[in-house]
Amino acid sequence: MAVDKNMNVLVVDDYQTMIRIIKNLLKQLGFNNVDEATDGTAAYEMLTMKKYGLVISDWNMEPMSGLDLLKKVRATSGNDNITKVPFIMVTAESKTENVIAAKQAGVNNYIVKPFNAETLKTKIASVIGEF
Amino acid sequence: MPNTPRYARGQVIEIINSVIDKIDTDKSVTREVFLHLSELAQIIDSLKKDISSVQPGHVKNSHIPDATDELGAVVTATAEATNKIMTICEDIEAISETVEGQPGEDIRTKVTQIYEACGFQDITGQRIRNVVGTLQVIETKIDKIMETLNQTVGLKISDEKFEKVVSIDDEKSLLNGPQMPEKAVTQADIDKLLAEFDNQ
Repeated sequence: MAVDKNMNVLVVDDYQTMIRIIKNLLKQLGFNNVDEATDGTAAYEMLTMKKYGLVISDWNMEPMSGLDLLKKVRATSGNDNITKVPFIMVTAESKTENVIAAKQAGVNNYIVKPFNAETLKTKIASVIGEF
Repeated sequence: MPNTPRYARGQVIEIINSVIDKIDTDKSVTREVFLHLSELAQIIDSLKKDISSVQPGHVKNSHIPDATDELGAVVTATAEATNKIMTICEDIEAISETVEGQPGEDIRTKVTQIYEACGFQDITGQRIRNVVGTLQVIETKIDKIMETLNQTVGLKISDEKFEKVVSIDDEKSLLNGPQMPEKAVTQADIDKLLAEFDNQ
């Protein structure tokens, strides 16, 4: 099935600069409907209000971290749009334990910062399909 | 301390009473004990002076808060600079859409590489956050040490802040690096000051 680039994408990071970088890279890839949130709590609220085709989230945020957001998303019942949303963690946390924890929590892919545009494209494609 | 012998409260009281009895009955032991106690008091006094000379109050009230403020200013400055760079890149990207063929493509590739490089600000911000966390740990530990010293030997930490004296006669005191934005003297202020010199 062809990837719908008009889908809503949610970018979650407490650093505005990083949000901007990811949004610009997504725009280059053809994704123009990109929303943003600066922590997990705000992000989850947005997920309950609109259907998203992809979440790209940082890990280290307050008050709700990216991992806690992921766990809350996967634990949501009665709304597959939330529970099963493709979720990519983009983070500076690079220990093996972090990757294992994210995988166990249900992450679809994991990108370590700093990253380049090609990596972002490849990881997104691996999760939502080639585009 | 795994090898320290442990005594029950009753045993400790028994030992203390036995020492007091010995002091009461044997004057040479009394003198020896008092000499040792006097030496101990001098050591404690000297230790208190050494610790006071380090001025832990300055560390807690000035050096650590100043370091935290400086690190915060670093994060702010790098964020502002990065945002400026990205705004310019976005403008270049828009212009590149009007450039046909490979040159346009090449420009967009270079802009992408600049976006990627701007990711440094996120990494440095996180590292600085870790440093601030470490400073807070150090501050907490200093508090704990001083609290213990206050309770055991009556050493109190002062509230006074470290005030650096800047003097034109002391060249080292003139080396302070960039000022905090809210306290900074502006170029206009400096120009005015220079003009005042010229008018004298």
